[in-house]
Amino acid sequence: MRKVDFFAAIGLLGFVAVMVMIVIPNENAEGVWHGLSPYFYPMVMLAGVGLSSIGLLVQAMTKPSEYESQPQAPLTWSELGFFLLISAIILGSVLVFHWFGTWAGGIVLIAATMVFMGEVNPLRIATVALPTLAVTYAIVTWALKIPLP
Amino acid sequence: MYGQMIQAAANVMSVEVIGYITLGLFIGYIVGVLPGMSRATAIALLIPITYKLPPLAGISFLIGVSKGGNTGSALTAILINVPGEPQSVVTALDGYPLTQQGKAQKALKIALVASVLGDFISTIVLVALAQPLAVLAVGTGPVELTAVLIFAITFIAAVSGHSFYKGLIAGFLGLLLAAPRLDMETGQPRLTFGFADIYDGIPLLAVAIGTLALSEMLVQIDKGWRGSYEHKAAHLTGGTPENRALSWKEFMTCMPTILRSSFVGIAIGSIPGMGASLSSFLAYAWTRRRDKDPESFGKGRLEGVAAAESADNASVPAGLIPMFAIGLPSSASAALLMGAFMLHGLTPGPFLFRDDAVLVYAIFIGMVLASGIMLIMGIVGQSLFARLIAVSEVILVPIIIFLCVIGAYLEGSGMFSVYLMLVFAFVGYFMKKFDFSFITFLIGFILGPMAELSLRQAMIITDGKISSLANHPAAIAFLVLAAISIWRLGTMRKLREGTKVGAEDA
Repeated sequence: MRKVDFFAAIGLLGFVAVMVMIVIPNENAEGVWHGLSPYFYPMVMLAGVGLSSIGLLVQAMTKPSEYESQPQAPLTWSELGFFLLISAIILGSVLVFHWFGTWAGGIVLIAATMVFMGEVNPLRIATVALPTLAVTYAIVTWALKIPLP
Repeated sequence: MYGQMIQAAANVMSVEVIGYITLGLFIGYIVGVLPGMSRATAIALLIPITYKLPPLAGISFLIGVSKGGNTGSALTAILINVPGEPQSVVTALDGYPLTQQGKAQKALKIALVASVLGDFISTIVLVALAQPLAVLAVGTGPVELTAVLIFAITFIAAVSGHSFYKGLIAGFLGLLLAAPRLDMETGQPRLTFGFADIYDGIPLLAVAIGTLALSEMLVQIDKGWRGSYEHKAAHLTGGTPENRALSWKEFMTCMPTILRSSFVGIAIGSIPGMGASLSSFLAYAWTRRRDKDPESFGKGRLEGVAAAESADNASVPAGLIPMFAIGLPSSASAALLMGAFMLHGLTPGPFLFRDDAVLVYAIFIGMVLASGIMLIMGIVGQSLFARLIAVSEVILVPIIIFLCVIGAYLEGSGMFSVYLMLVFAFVGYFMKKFDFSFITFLIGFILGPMAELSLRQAMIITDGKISSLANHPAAIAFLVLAAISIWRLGTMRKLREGTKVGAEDA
């Protein structure tokens, strides 16, 4: 049995169950419709996800040969740690972008990502960050006339 | 029709449109050369730039990016044995040995000529076929359209990734993602969870930039952490004059291969989900099989490079045939181009020829023109583009991440789109890691509104009775094809795995 796909299928079935039994019944479906509920389409798609998940579940349990060419664990703990770290950096930079504007957010984002990727020379970081910000800011605010934060 | 074509030609022959086509090709070429960047990523990032442009200039610019990216990717494959795009894996098989023999410039020249010819032939086929197919498609009703969409999603799911079920799940999730919006019949919010920003649907660019561009940057950073971010520099100097030049005789020897491979690229590229990788792989295999000396392939044969590049580039315009004819994207790039059409208030499909014929002809003329510009740009700029290979990902990736944030912000929902884009980047990262086809997901998302409308209409027309399908033989045919996709396409999936690129470019 391939555990990853087994648990992925269980998770997806759980998602379908939550949507069908909790989310959609609690939605406010007012208004007049002719023959078909507004929830007909999402229910059909959820049925598709559910049936395909059952197929995946059965495949994960009964056909281990399907997975010979694939790694047993697609994501190691170190990869997950890496992902959480870089995600935190990007999310933090986006928050700076939101609260303090494009220039502060952009510099933090580019500098933090470069440092994370191994760049330690501040001059090189500045050489990349400042022209990128200046050109982007000029194109968006002057050429496209869209205000940035 | 001729009057419309003349008007279209006049529209294209403006400094603005030609300038944007050239700029698109130039950026595309750079994208193809740069490590870790793909055409789809670039298109997703550049769509916001086209907001303020007229539709013709904006769409032509994005098509230029798509074409240029495909041609530019051959450079890294030939010079440093690192394919710029998955489909260039096949180009590297003979291209890199030619470089090792001191024939890099010769290999690049045949790659460029084969790319341009493949692209040109395919564009002509697109022009010739799209409208007749669209005329046929105009006669189809919602029942037939629903059947076509079911077939398309099952087929794309069947040929992408390792697991058919995962492909199907991704497709259904994409279609489901189109559900949160104001219901089209009652006008009531549906699955919006109180967010007014998604009353018009989840923003396309937040999904596209997140799942395609930012998630790919996360993967690139991860890869580099476990290896290196640096790339070998490539220079085009040196070599004897004989090794640098592509003789007329060599070109004519490759010509039958280019023509044959172009038609392979057109045939495969026009089938949704098959992608450029499979076409270049099949064209190469066919050329090798037909040759008197198949053992010499992989050791530096010009025909090998020509076969891979012409098929690869022919598949790009061919991939737009189903989009223009029936409104069905065949690849990630085509899906994004379709999204760009929609953002400009246009709906790709059979009615586009009726409603905006001049624009469609103008786009076609622009595409033919782009083939010529691509040739000139390749000849003039190859050594400049080759220098870009050495750009480190330490510089490139942070810039692209910043552009992802700006791109999502520009869609109109402000920071809401940016946070949504981050969510989809994380979703895309895990989809890639767990081998769920994010391409099928994206295509499902873009087709979602059309799928819902046609499904509802089909249910009303047939009164929900399966027996009513007897009056719709074309729909039955597509449903049978969908069933065959589910039942038998495992073999073809293995073939795609054989190309070692999976569904990355499907």
